[in-house]
Amino acid sequence: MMKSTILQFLFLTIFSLSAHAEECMVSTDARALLKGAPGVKAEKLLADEGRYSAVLNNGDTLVAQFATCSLGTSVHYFVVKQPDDKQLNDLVSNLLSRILPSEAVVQKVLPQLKGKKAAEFSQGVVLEGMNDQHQIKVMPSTSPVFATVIQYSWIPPEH
Amino acid sequence: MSKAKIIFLGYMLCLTAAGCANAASDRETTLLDSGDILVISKNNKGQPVASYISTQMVDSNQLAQRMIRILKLTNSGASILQFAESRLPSHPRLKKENFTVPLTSKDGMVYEFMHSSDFENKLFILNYKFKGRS
Repeated sequence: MMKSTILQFLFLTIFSLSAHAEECMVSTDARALLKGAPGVKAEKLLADEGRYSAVLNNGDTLVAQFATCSLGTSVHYFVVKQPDDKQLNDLVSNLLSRILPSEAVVQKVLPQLKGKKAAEFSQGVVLEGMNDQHQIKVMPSTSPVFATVIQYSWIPPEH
Repeated sequence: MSKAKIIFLGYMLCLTAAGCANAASDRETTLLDSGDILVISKNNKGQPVASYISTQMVDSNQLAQRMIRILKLTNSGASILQFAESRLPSHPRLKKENFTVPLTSKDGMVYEFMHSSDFENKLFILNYKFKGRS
């Protein structure tokens, strides 16, 4: 009886320890996405919380959340002035070149944006990375102080 | 009058007349210590509007404090501020993920807050519009 209780306790302890360890096997490094970019008025990186925010001189604003206990990156870029198709494509390109982790990925992903217009972005565009994917969706902003929001989500590789 | 004088007079007029003020000066964007963003501006009717943008969810009491902060920063009257401070912290609708809360002052002015939560994409926005007389 005693033996089985001890075994049960040991099993539970080992199981909960491993479950706890597994909980945070991976995390996503928070990065200052717009560091050194032209037109940045203020920025803040809270690495422990996986958060980054930046405000531009023209009022455009970026907030990013990096998953602290899994793989994941969500970025929202709020645009003050409604962009036309070309301006939107340029904005998305600039944004992606800041978000994507390396020059090699940038070289692979950016050409896929060629000719993409607002109508396609509003449906959501999935771009192929190295073995992952990058999704861009452009929506009208619900905020009364912004016209449009560009939403980026990283779709990590499947394990 | 010389050309220079006319330009100078025009410039002085612009300094005093609200219509000539730089549109951007009507807009104030603050990056808070928490990493949240607070934007205070005016709509095309000149009425106050605001947005509080965060990537993290907070409880209803913290939301109430954000709403009161916006009312203060947009110079809302003392009576609506007092009303908000007494009613908002225990308002049941603030516990919902998405809500609209209109506040009406004694003189019939409507101040409207709207909150939306997107858990999947980690975005929580509190929007504010002064809607004028109901």
